[in-house]
Order: sequence, then structure tokens, then C-alpha cells
Amino acid sequence: MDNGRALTELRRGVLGPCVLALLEERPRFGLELVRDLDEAGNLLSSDGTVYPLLNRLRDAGLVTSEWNDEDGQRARRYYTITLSGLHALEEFRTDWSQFTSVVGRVLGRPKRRRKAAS
Amino acid sequence: MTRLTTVEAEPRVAEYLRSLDAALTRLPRGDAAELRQQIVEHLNDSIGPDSDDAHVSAVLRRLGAPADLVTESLESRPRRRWQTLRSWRRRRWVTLGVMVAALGSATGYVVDMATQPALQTEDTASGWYYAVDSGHAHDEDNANGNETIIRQRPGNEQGFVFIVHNSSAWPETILGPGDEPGLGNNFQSPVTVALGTSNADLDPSYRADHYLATPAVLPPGQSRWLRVTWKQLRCQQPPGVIDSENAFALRLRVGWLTHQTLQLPESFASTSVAQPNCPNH
Repeated sequence: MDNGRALTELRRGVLGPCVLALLEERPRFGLELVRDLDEAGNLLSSDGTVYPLLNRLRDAGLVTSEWNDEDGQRARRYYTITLSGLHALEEFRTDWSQFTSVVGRVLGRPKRRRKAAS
Repeated sequence: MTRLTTVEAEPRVAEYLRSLDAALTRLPRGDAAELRQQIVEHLNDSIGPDSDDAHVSAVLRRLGAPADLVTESLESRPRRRWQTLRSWRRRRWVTLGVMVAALGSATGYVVDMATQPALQTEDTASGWYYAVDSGHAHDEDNANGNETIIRQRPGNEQGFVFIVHNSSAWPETILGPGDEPGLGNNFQSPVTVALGTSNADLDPSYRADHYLATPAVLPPGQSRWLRVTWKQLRCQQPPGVIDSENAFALRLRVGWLTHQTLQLPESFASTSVAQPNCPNH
């Protein structure tokens, strides 16, 4: 069983909602998101993959971006969650709760003992 | 220690960006330019004038191979992996592993679909569906933008059409209007949504098109006319009130139910006039 690949697929599947959840707290620029995702638990396969994801979220209307220079620092592109993004995140939270409950039940089934061949 | 003037001048960064530029030819020009700008911003934030060689190398390594980033931008379909079952003893664990991987893929599939581009409308493709309405419509520019206004015709069906485009990689099922069915008001019946069957990119004639009542599927990469109709029950009161719509909500299914409010290409409005010209039923 290739646990590595299964985990990669799982991470890939939840990355979008995780980004939305971080943006729900406050707008962030790209490197901030990368660092926060890394600190949360190594969710990114590589740092650069956050950008195609942000672009997909933006195209789906879940995120917007704008240039902002805070306190006279170099201008950065900040990403902000939209109202649609908030709704999508809430739907995912509900779905995820049900999903993990189902998986937990499946994984938690009692193991059967095989009798040794006589 | 290497001192940097600009991050792009650093030899390893310059080499990375050259590889990235070569890989970006696989993307549309706009997408390529955007991704490149994002990567350069990332490098500017990660690498400072005092960054040493080891730090630069670590940043580039963590960033990922340029070809992989471009593949990630292109990739929109989940991968499914199934393992061959050989024996009963392995089968139990492999089956559970496949189930977990499949559920993980399903999640990735769902999230991937959820992050697909939404339905899009086209700025110049819309109009009143019935000729009697389009023939008597008058346009004006107001707070709603370009608004096309018709008279309400009690006892008659009225409606408008606009083009929707599915730019995602998934078929999108249009289930119906975003509001709960049965929501009309005293003046109009609940709206009915129907999807044209011709590819609107090839044949833009909406009156000649054949429409299927929702739920109806919009294939990936295609455009269709979307027709919104209602029966005008009675003239809206008081007369002269303009009932405008510049956005329209749809219920969609791409794996999971979702909603989307489309900004209409123009604002559609109807108004009633005073009696006796607008008799109510």
C-alpha cells in the first residue's frame, strides 16, 4: 500500500480549504501563506504550488488579490477571501466533518483474528 | 557570502527563472505572465541582500521544479490509483488503502472541482427572448449600467436570454434558479430556467435554438444560451415601478451542490403602466 501517495492526494484535496481558512483570519501575501501552511504541518509539496492554487481560487471567485504596500514597504500582492469563498469554506467544513466521521468509522472497525491453519 | 543587487541577477535565481520561462510556454500568455510574477515576488520576499548561497539554494529547492509548477497550473483532473489484489491476506489492507486513497482522491476531486472556474457570461450576448418584448424595449444608461426596459404583459410569458460559458474542465449541471422553487411574487410566477442545446460559440441564434428544461448539463469548454422565463401574472403596482435584475443566481452541481450568482451582461427591467393600458387579471 502506497501510504505516501495516499497522503499526497489527501493533502492536495484539503489544501484549497486550508488556504481559505487562513485567509478567513486575515488577508495574506504569498510567502506568508507558504510559511503558515508549512508551520501548520507541511501541507505543501513545494512552496510554488500555492500560486497555481491561489489562481484557481481567484478564478472561482473565492479569493481576490490586490497590491498593497504596508508601512511604506515594497508593494506586495495580498490575497483576500470573498463572500463566496466564505460560503465555500463553510460548506467544506460541514462536508469534512461528515467525511472524517465516515472514514473514522471505517478505519476504526475491529480487526478480525485469523485462526492459524491447523 | 554572495551579495545580491536584485534577486533576479543572482545566477542561480536567473537560471531558475530561465527554466521557468521555458516551462511557461505551455501556459496561455496571461497565465504564464501571472505565475512568473508571483514566483518573482516570492523570490523577492524570500531572498534578501544578505542571503548566502545556502539560503538561495534552499529557497529555490523548496519552490519546486518549474516544470512541476506549470503542470500544477495545467492539471485539473484527479489521479486515481488502484492496486492489483494478489492474496486475501494483502487484500484486506490493500482494500482499505485503496478506499482511503479513493476517499482522499474523492476529496481532492471535490475540492478540485470546487475550485474550478465558475460559469461566465459574455458581455455582448443577451436579450429579451420574445420578439414582442425585444421589439418594444428601450435602453437607458442608469445606476444599473446599461438597462433594457420592457412593459409587463399580464397573462403572458416573458423572459430574457444570455450566454453562459463553462470554462472549467468539468461538466456543470445547472439545476435551476438559485432561489427556492415556488418563490415568485404577486406579480410574477416563479422563474423557469432552460439551457439551449446548440453550442452558442458556433450558432448564436437564440430564438432558433431548442431548449431543455433544467436540470441540464453544460459541457466543459462550451457556451450555451440560458433562457430565464416567467409568466407575468398581473401588472406590478404601483404603475411605473421598474423591476430590475442585473444578477441572476443559479444552483449548480459539480460533484457537490453549489450556488453561483452571475452578473448579467446588461440589466433587464420591466415596468407596468397605469390602467386601462395594463389590465390586471
